[in-house]
Amino acid sequence: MSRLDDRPDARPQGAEGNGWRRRLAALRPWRRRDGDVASAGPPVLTEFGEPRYRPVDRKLIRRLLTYLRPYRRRYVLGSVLSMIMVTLEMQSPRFMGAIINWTTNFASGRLDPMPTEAGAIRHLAGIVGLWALVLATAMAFQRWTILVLTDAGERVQFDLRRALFSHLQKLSMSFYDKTKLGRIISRCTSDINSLREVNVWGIETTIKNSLMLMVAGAMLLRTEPRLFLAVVWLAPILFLLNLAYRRRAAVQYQIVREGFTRVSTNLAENITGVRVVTAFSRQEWNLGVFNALQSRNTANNVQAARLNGMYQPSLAFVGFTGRAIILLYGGYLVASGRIDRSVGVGSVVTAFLYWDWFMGPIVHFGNFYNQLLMAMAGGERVFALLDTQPDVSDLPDARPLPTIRGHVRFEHVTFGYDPSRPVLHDIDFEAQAGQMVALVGHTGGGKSSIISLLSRFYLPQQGRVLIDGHDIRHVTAESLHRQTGLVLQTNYLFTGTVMENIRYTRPEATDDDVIAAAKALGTYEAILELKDGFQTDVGERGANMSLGQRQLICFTRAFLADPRIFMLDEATSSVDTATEQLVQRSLKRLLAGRTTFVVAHRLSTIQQADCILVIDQGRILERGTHRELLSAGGRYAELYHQFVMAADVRAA
Amino acid sequence: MSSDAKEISQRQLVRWMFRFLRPVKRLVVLACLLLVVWTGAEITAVRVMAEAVNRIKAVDVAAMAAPEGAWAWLTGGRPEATALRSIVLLLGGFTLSLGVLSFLREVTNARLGMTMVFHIREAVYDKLQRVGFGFHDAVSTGELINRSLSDLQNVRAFVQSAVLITLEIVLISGGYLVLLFSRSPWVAGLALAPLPIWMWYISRFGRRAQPTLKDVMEAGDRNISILTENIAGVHVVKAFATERQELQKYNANCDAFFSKVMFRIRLFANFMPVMRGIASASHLTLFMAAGILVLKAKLTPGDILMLGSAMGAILGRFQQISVINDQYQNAVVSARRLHEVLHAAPTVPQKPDARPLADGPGTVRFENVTFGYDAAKPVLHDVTFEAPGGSVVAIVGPTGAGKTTLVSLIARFYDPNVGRILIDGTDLRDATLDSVRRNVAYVFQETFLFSDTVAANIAYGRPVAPEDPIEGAARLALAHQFVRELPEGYGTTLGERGTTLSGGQRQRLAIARALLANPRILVLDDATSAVDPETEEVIRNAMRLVMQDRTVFVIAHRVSTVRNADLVIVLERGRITQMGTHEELLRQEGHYRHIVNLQLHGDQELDDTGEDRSHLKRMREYEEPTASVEIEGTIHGEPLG
Repeated sequence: MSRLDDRPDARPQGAEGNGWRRRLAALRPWRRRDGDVASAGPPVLTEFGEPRYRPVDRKLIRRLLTYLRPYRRRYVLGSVLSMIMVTLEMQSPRFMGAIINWTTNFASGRLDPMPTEAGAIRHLAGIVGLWALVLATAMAFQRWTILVLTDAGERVQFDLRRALFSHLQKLSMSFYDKTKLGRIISRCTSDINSLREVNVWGIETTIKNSLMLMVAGAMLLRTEPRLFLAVVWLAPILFLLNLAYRRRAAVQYQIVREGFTRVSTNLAENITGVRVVTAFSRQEWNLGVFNALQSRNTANNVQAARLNGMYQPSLAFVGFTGRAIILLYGGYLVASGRIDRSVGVGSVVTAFLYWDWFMGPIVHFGNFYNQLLMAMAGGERVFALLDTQPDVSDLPDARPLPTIRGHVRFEHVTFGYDPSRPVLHDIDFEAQAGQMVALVGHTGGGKSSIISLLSRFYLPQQGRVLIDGHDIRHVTAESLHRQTGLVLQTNYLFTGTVMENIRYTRPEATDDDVIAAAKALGTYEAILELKDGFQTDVGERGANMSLGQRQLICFTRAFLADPRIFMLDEATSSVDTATEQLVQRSLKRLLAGRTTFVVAHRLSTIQQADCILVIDQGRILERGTHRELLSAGGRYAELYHQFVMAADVRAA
Repeated sequence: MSSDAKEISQRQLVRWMFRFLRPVKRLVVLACLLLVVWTGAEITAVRVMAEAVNRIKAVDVAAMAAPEGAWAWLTGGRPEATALRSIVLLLGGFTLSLGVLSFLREVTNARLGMTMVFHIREAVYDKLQRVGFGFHDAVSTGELINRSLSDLQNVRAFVQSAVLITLEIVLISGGYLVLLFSRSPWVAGLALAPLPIWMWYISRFGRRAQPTLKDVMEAGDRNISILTENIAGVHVVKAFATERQELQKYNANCDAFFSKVMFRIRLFANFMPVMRGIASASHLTLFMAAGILVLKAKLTPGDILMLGSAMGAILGRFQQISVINDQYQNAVVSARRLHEVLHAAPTVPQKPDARPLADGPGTVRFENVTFGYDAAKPVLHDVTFEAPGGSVVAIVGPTGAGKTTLVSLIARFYDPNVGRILIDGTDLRDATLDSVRRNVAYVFQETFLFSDTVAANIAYGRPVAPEDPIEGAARLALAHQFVRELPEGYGTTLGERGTTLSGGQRQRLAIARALLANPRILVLDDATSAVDPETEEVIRNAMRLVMQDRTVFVIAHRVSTVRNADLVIVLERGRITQMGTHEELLRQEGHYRHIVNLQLHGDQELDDTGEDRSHLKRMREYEEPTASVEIEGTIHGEPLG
């Protein structure tokens, strides 16, 4: 029934054996439940449409092994412990057989020196006692195995996570511009998680199941080679059956998940957009659409249940076939005297019991193989990310940028995100230390690219960017960025308090430093007005704060960093007039005495600039102060008049 | 949000949950029947299996067979061969019928569960889209989505297992217990003795493991959130060179995460062997006791195996009791939340005798309207005005003044606490909700588009609109041009999985959507806030055409948008402080003239004019903390900054 319980990891299981691990997973699932029924296993594609399965690749395995190597002792120890445990546990059918043989032989009076009843009971107690001892030892080893192997495997998992995160810090902006956030996250979450089963249990599963298979096979063989030959052909059938089921289940689960995504997306949108729904009176229509999606979802899930429902019975049927053969053929062998009567019945019963032990590993191998295919797909993506080289990185001979005054020079800079399609052509200008430069022009003209180059997020294809005469290509990123500051339209804030966010650029700053900075910038009162002042939790992406407030916090953060060169992508959205005034005033204080580059959208900002660069289609069209450009009557004057026309109310 | 949900007792809640079974009565009966038959077959199959072992034994005592081939032996009439043959056939029959039965059970249970989910989800969905904004303001979107997805599943899972799993536990363990005791009461009693300890141990473990799960999940969430923020804020990280700091933060979390994971694993590693140990003790006791009985020839060897299977089955079912208990705990919490949704009273109920809004020019009249999201804290005070049909009304004022609140009353998203609102002379409360909303269209401040095609988004208010008017509306809203340039034109899918549009483009689509609804009254809530001045100019031109023949309400910060209005309403702290045309207001001392001046000139240019002082005075007023007291509801609650 747990199968209806929409746990993505509630996979159907084969015979007993590794059952405790399933119990470990099923008792309280680690992963959160979502979605509907969908129990057939993970789908063929990830949520980003990437394949979840990939053929086994030796190179990948070898590479993965390099991550396991530091913990090889644990893996070896774990495997040995596990082998001992399995060997001990596999004695159970023999004990069972011994009990049956001893008791029945005693009952039918066929023991040679016939013991007394008390003696027989003592002997029986001896068997059971020994069995108990074996099981107890096995369980102690089990505990040890879990601890040793999960410790090693989890360490590998975390090593991979850390390696990825650390690598992500090195990658250039071009990577982040090209790659969607969700994909990067899924590298570090689901792709790494897909390796878990293999990293923790891979070696142990392989060794243990091989051992189980061999021991069970040997037991069957030892009981009677002909009996063994009579059933062994079922093994490949079982393996293929299991694998075929997993394939089909993965496809079906894909269908289920897509259907469920439609349901949940529709539902979420209907709640998020409830104002639009209400305003346009769409309730009835929407319910019809939703129920149609739900019907599809129901049908998909029932189909998955059909597939699931066939799995266990078909395993059971293969199991039955083996048992039937053992019974009938074994019976014949005993009856015809081909097996010695004194051990005959007991050994057929033992074979009967070992058959389950023979089937278990085959089913487990199938499951593990499936896990391995998933790990291959996940691992390939993880390693591909680790192999991504940063476009911009410190040169081997990079030196730290000394303390700068803030002189900036672009020397005939040509640049394109795609080198064959330049977005900036031969940009050449100079900004004296402490000057304010406003970048003006149409969206897409190349204003932000200039800022990106100055931040060394990208390197120009031609020309140089110089700060105080140093080519920024030849300095270390850290020394450069410690002396520059950037505030973008997005006004990005991190989870945590306002205080922590401001301190972000200078972790060593005290609370008093932060408050002093806010006071100096004139944002102190505005921050105090927040719900808990400086201790206000900004929530993810600063959700519960107004645009203006977030901007003020970002300004304070930049102000605390005290950069010599400051870059600003001014927000286009309008905030109400009073907040706008506060923003403008603190901005003015923030810019004072720094070399500043502003992608400007506000007339008042532009008018303050020492130099305005009018950028159009990647070229500097005009340059000069507001007055100069206005009297020149060019593109800037045109833009200005458009702007003023829009705002000029007295003309009406 | 009025609801009696909070008062409901746990017992009522459980009874309420079971009502979800009503629409699936037949499936429940079918599932129970299948369960009964399956249980019978299962228990019989175990007995057959035991018999099979005994039959091998029978072979033992049979006389030596002739040295014939296996097939000849099997098909020949020898008694031990016939016995084995019949038992194998029986076993095969049971395997087959058990397989069919468990297949049917699986499918029936899935159908049952999914049908329940279907009905509950349908009810929740419809409730949520009709309950009214007051409810949505009080409960966050994420929580509502959660209620309609996981809470619902929790309730379903419990209700379903409460019936079916309970029955299975009772039938299976009951059946096996009878089997055990019928063979030998004292063996059964002895073997079952450790059972209470076993169950106590499992439930104790459950209690101890629960918090560790929470710990692990929290650490995991934090891990993902650090990662997400690091990537989403990569500009900040790079611009301020804080990579090392980020790495430290992440590694510290990894350390904590790892130790939480290992703590939980250690708990499991200690638990599993003990649990299995107690179970094994039961088994071994059973084998010992049963073995003695076999010695005394009171039991057959097959019985030992059978009793072993019975023991395993009983232990397995008892373990499920704790699962149901868990489900129950979750379901009670979830059911309460679900009940709250399904029993929430609509915030703007429709009168039984409500009639459709009569035709008219679209005159809107507010009469002494006072309104607050919380009635004790009014956001609008005594608002009275009349907008003649076909006029353009601009509403201006600082953030938090109540502008959005005011316009949201026009389509009766909320009812005023005091006063009334009339459209063409009809009190909104006397009209049907549907007719009111079909006559008022909104372009909201935050554009919401659905993950559907461009055409479907524009036609949102008229789902069966043919193509021509869709394109016409898009042309009017100046959206046609960019839509045509999209990869699949009007058939382009928007949203997460589709094309993303810029703020300006989205807003133009929202305008087209409102136009296609062809309303008498059009409300534009700060519709050009997210676009740059150039695009704004374009949209404003578009709007001039659109505004003809309708009553239009415009909320705007930019004076340029406002100046052509027939009526300008200045709203400050929920009260109308000024009302008139642009020219009239410009002649008055007050907020309007002040903002006009502020926007026309940067403050530098004001330095040498007399207006500067009033401006500075204003600034100081805004900085007084009292200015932030009135927060404009939760529609777009941006506190004054």
